[in-house]
Amino acid sequence: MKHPTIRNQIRRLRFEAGEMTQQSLADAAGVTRQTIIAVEAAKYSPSLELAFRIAAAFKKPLSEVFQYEGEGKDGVI
Amino acid sequence: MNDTKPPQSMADRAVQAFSNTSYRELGAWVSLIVTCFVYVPYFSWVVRRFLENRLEAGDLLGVFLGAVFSQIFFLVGVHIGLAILLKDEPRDERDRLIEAKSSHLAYNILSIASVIAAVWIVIGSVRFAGAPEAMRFLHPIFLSQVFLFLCILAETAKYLTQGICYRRGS
Repeated sequence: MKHPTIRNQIRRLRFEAGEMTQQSLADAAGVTRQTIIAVEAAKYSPSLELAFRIAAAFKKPLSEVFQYEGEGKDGVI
Repeated sequence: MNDTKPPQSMADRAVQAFSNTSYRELGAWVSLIVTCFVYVPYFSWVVRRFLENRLEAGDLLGVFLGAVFSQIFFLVGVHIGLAILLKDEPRDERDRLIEAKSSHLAYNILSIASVIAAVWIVIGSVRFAGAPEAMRFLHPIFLSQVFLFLCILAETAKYLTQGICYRRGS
């Protein structure tokens, strides 16, 4: 199976958000904790809608939460 | 930052792995194990009886009903246990994706296996044309068991795919 090519900063952002738990993020995003675990470990690429919900939970722009591989951290390809 | 403390022993690692496993993933693995546990002996018995030319409707029906009730009993019991131990959450997009993948694969396996089975039955009946063995391949009891085997094979593939997809992430 093709490995997802999307990186994310979820783990760091959870820490910066007052050590938000995976369950809290899952509740905010409307998914299960196991899905958040899979997204965080880059084993599952979320849908666009879920990606936006996760970013909204952190109150961050999408590009700060997810990066397409080959892309710089500032979001420029 | 970590949701749990670093595991200190195998027992701790097992508990953490269990808590990171969703109800649906465990349900898939349990369904796979129960299906194999019930139907491997069942089809072994059917094949043995078929080869001995002793596959009779009366015996077959009793054994089949026993297999079905056993499967229901074990599945319901274990799923109740899992529901008590784990929180069952509504299906999210990953659950729906995995379910769609597993159903798609199961359908493909059922389709391909059906064609193979049909060809095998025709070849068998032609190969033994004129001989009593030919009728065995066309006997309704034999055909019913072939059909049942294909369905169980597809179900097994579905559960296995679900378990693997959950383990791999999607």
